[in-house]
Amino acid sequence: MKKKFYFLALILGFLTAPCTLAEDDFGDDWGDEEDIRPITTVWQDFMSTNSFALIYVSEDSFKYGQYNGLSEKGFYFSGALDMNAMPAMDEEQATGFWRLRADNLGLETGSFEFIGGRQGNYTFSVSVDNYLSVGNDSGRTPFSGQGSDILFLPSDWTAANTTNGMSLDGALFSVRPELERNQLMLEFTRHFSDQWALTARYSYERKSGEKITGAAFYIDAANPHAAILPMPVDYENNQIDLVLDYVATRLQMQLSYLFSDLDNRYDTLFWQNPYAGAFIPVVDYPNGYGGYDLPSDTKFQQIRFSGNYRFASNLKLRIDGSAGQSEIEDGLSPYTINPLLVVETPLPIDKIGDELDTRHLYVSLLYNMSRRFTLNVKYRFDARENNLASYPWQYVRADSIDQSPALKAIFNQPHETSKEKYTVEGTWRLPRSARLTLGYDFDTVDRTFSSVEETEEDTARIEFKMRFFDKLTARIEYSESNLSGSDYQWSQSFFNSLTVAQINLIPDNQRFNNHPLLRQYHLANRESQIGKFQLLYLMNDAWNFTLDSNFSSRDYDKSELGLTETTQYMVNLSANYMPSDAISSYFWVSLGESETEQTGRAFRGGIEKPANVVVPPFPDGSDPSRNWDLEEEGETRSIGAGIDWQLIENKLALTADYVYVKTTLEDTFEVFGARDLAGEDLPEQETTMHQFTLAINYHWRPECSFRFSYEYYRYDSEDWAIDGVGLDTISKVLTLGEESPNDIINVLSVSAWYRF
Amino acid sequence: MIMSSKNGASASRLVLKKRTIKWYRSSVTLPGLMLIALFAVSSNAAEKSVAAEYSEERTKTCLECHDEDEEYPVHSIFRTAHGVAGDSRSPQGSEGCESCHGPSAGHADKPRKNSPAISFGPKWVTPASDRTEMCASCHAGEARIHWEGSVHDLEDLSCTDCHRSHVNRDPVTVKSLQAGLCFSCHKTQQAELNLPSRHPIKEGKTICSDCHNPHGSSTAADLIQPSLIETCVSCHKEKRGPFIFEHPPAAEDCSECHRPHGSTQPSLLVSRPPFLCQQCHMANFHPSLLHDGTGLAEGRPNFNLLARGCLNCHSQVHGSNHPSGARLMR
Repeated sequence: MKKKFYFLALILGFLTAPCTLAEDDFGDDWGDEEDIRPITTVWQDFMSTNSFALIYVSEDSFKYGQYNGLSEKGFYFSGALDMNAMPAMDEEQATGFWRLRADNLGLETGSFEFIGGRQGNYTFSVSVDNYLSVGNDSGRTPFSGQGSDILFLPSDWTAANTTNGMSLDGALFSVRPELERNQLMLEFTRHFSDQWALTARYSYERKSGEKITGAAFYIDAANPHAAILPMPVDYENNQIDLVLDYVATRLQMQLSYLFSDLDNRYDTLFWQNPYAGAFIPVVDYPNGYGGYDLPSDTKFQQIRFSGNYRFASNLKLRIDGSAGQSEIEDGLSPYTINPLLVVETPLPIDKIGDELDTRHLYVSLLYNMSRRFTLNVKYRFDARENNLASYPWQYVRADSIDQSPALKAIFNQPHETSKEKYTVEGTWRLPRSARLTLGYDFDTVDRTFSSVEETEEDTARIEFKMRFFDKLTARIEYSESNLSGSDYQWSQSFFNSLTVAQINLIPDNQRFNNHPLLRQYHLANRESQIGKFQLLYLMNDAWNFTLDSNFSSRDYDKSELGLTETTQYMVNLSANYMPSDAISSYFWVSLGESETEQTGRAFRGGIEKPANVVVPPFPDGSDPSRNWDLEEEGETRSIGAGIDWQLIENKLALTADYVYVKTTLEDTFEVFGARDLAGEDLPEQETTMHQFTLAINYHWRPECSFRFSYEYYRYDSEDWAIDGVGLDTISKVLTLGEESPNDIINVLSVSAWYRF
Repeated sequence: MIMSSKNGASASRLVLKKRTIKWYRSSVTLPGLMLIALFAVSSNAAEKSVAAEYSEERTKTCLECHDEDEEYPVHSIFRTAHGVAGDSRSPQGSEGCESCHGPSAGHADKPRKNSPAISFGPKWVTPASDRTEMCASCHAGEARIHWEGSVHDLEDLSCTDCHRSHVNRDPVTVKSLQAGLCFSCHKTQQAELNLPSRHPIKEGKTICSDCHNPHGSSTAADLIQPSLIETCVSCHKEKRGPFIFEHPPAAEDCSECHRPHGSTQPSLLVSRPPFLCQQCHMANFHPSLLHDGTGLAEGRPNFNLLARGCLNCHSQVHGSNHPSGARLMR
């Protein structure tokens, strides 16, 4: 694939060479002072454009090249094509056309699209698109076999119970988590008449590369032995879409069918246990291997209907509905890949055969009761059903010990949800282009295998927009929501996941998983407010301003443990200045802050677990002095500015663009007296980005332009989670020893455009 | 209308009505009003009769003034689908420029005084609803089924607020240019675009219309798929499921943990492990313990805090199909 793109890029280089040979069809009039036609409008006379760029990147930087294919130091070629053929204006019978577009040819992010057909009759297209995502490439690993599904250690590996006893001075391999997604799409559309059209689309997608994951061996949950591993990614997906459209004056409909087949080349990632002395010999290095499940092969089908019917000019009905099913047909992995561990009870099922059904229905009635008032009534239903039954799984703990006895089996909990939403909304059109909208939403959600079986949420909304003096438009929105639910069954997960025999062994006052005072925030009662304010000011032909702000607040007022409050706000101010046709400039600044508060209680198990003791001495679970609070405050500061300046009209232009982004995150703790809880704050997490681009655009001829650009990119970051964390810093996690990116990149590029 | 009076008040209203009727019947007022009405109707009719006519030679008439040298040249439209004369659905295959700008003989007669029937600016701007209706006379259905009552419709946006038809290529259909157009209004998303963890929107590889339908849809935020989770898994297919051992919030709503436009945390998370996880998990021992600054690299390195935190072990956060995957570790 890469070679083909380089070849194409070279061809483009030759195609733009005619720039030097092109005759000047515009004769002596070009560049004449009396010629007032802007260059951008002259370009509209050309049907096609080819361009070619030579790029130099001064340093390796995964951060700069995360998505643009320029992550490594060196030279790059990049080309683009935009070619069109349409019937001439005076050709009254011709309808044939084609378009060819390509971007980033020569880079790993190249794309290509060809569309052709007879307008009004049929069109067909072929497109190819390549995505690239590059992750932190500063990590290293002692494991060989990257890119495959088996990771193994060197023959001279020294294993140990902790990482600082391991032989990490030897050869280590670089880890470069890079994901490619290559997509091919074929599409054909046939217009049978003015009303009917059918589209058939086939897409093939391959995702390949490497991601990072963590995996562990363990016997005791407090004593895991983990390793951060490079995980292979190699999926193929074939998808077919069929869409039938009907368009008439009163009725429009669309019926679609989708079939998607995901096929993963790898089922399991195997890795050799780097630890020894913590497990039985068959699990320790060198005999022990772990098996980590990779995504299953999945088939998905969905049928969807959308429609819009106009009963009258002021009464419209809209419907949207779908039914989908996702199915896994893979065989099950064994309880453990280690044949030397004792597994006596077979799997409860032979293969997954799991089906997930999703359905949704949306109905909306829009009634323009008068020129000034519109009523919109909506209903929405969503359902998700996991058709797998609940089975007891006598699991093997992380390929580390023999199979659990039947007593200790864990049941899977196939979650299902059913949601309904009712909306009533009235919009008044008032004088001076003002608009007032009042809305009310009522949401209900029913869940199975959940601590809260039913939640309800009321939302009241108001929006107002008005124009003042034809230059100033203001807009304000505000909504308040109140979510409440049925009784919070804090022991639900405990009783639904364990066997009766196991439950009976546990004292009554210890029969819970999560602390009884915890409220999982997606189920918890809460009060929410959301507000938005926007001002748009068109001061004059040269200046315009926009002020945009929004805030949201969620108060989990009934939650004693867990997330208790979140607040976010953002203010954006932007200005555009265009004093003449020769100069246009912009400036924007964005300030954002977020704050979350959560509370926890540190408690151990056994006799320290009970949470309902009210008389001292308190076990941990009942002791409020074991509480801890976390307040996380984040800030983002962004500035952008740019200018486009025609130094010499229609000949020479300068563009400059600057973006500055700074983010900070602070975590501060508060403790309430427990001696072993220090509550030491975490250091500030920070990122800073500067990106400055300066370009000179020289329009040698109307059909030929050149661009010389320089880009400065600087990225600084501090992240306590990885800074100073070497491969053996954490005693029982073999990490990759990554470092926060801190890069300064200079990018030079020379581009040429040829239009014809 | 004669109403039987049950009380004095009704009778008074009846009398008032008679007086009102008498006022309308006055010999001066009524003819005067009729004259005014007649004038208004006839004027309106006159305007309508001018506006209702197409120009004599359709496009050729328009191009006599709107030629290549105008500050806002329009000729590019003839190189687009709108300019294909052989397609009877296309403007050039029917009434030419006036297919979109409406019958505009009046504008052709007095171009500076009379606007076209439908004008998209800059001098005259027809109301948004009328401009939209003109476009919708051809471009109805398909992705625009849910336009009426959509957020952009209620904002009085018209098609031409985002689309350009008098250019070789409509910028909103160009992957590298689309986001900039959306950001002219959606400033918050523009700011989030530059955060440390993000989708490749700046690079034009993921564009706004990959997830959103700006013409309206049946979901909140105008998503193209029936739900938020369906939109996410349309690209992240391996996360679709089902799973034997599910992670309920992940199965219900991706935005419980992720921020799709940009985040300060890795993997677009709203917060990072262990703290994000501890908002829902508070079991005895390590899930409930305080993982604070004492656990940093230079102190007593805490495996629950450093590197990937909880995901050092519990990495199957979207669900697991492994028989031993109850703890989302396999």
